[in-house]
Amino acid sequence: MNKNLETCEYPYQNRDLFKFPENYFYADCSNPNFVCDYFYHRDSAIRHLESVSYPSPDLYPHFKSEKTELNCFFDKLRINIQKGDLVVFNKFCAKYEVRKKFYARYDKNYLPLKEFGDADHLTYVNFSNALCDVYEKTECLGYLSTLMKCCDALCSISFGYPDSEELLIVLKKEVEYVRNLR
Amino acid sequence: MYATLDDFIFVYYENFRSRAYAQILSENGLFPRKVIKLGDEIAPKFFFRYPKVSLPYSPTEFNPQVSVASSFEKFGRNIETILIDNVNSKEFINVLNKFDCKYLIYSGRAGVILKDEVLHACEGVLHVHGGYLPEYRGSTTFYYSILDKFEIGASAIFINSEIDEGNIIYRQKYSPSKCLDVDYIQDPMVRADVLLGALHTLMKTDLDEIALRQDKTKGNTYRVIHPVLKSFALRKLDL
Repeated sequence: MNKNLETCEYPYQNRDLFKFPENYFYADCSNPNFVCDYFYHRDSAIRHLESVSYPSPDLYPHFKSEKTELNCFFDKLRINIQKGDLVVFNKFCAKYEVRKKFYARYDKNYLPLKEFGDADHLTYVNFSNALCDVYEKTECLGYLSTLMKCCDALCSISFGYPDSEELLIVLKKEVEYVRNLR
Repeated sequence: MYATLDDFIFVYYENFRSRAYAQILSENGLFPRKVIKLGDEIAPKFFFRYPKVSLPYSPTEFNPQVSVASSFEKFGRNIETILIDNVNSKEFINVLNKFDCKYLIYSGRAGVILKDEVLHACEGVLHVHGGYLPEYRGSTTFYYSILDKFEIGASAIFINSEIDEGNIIYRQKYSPSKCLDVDYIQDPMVRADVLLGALHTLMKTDLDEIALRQDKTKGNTYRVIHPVLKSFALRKLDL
């Protein structure tokens, strides 16, 4: 998707952030257009996703990617989040922040099963959805920060229909949260 | 049993925070039993970008251009330099053992987590975290608390094996100053003020009475703030 975005100087683009993760340490945000560039980048990503999407993904269920084990696990965590239980989800937030990636599978103690490789991209969309849930519930900016990093990464790769629909919803939520902070 | 100044060894890398610590300790006539420089963290030229400043909440001015050694010069005691790149090395533990360290005032490099072997080499490693605990654990919490509440805070703790979860000795909240750098000025000054408060507390009160055990279920652990959010925080300070 990234190559289709219109040009702006937002620094967290122009490379696949899953392959080449960004650690965000000592980030320089002194450019006066930094925030505008962020919004421009996201708006471009949203426009691009809208151009590849169709009105109702439910009409095309056969196109949907099969959910991986971790992705299904995030569905369960989202139920826990609604109940106010963030303990396990926080562990996965910490994992994401350290490695900026998930493994495809974890054991019952949430330790990675590295032999199964990395998670697929849709898992990160669902993780982002969970971050939206937590942010809406807690208004804790730490979750929004993690969501923004995950969205940076998701915008740096390509998405086809109907997966693009899922990402579109997340990006619109993220931008709305950030706009509300201004 | 109260602590005395003789119980403390100050180990540091030359950076803004260490300079703020040294200046506030020196201004208050406090010279730990031993001061050990482990190395430089900041290129010397960088300090000269920042002139002397004072803040409403701190009685002590902070001059980033004055080194730790210069601040302690008036005490006529030597600062030992033992260059150690890795504070988790056997070499560093040997240093702590050699000087029979009871309490360590630690001003290390950002992001380095001390291993248990180091923590067990003395009775307590005193660290000032740049956030009001337990609400703000983790990284870049100054920025998060500016965005949340337009306040900054710091907490002196004895480090344990969990991130920012050690017992709290002293903590304080402050109003951030506008148009004043956060990382190199306000953060060091606030932490220095809390360090002073912690030392005074430890020298006047029994440790068992003051150490506040943290409620781990309270507060959040924050990670490096996304630069767009950091930018919002800086705007609140007119930076």
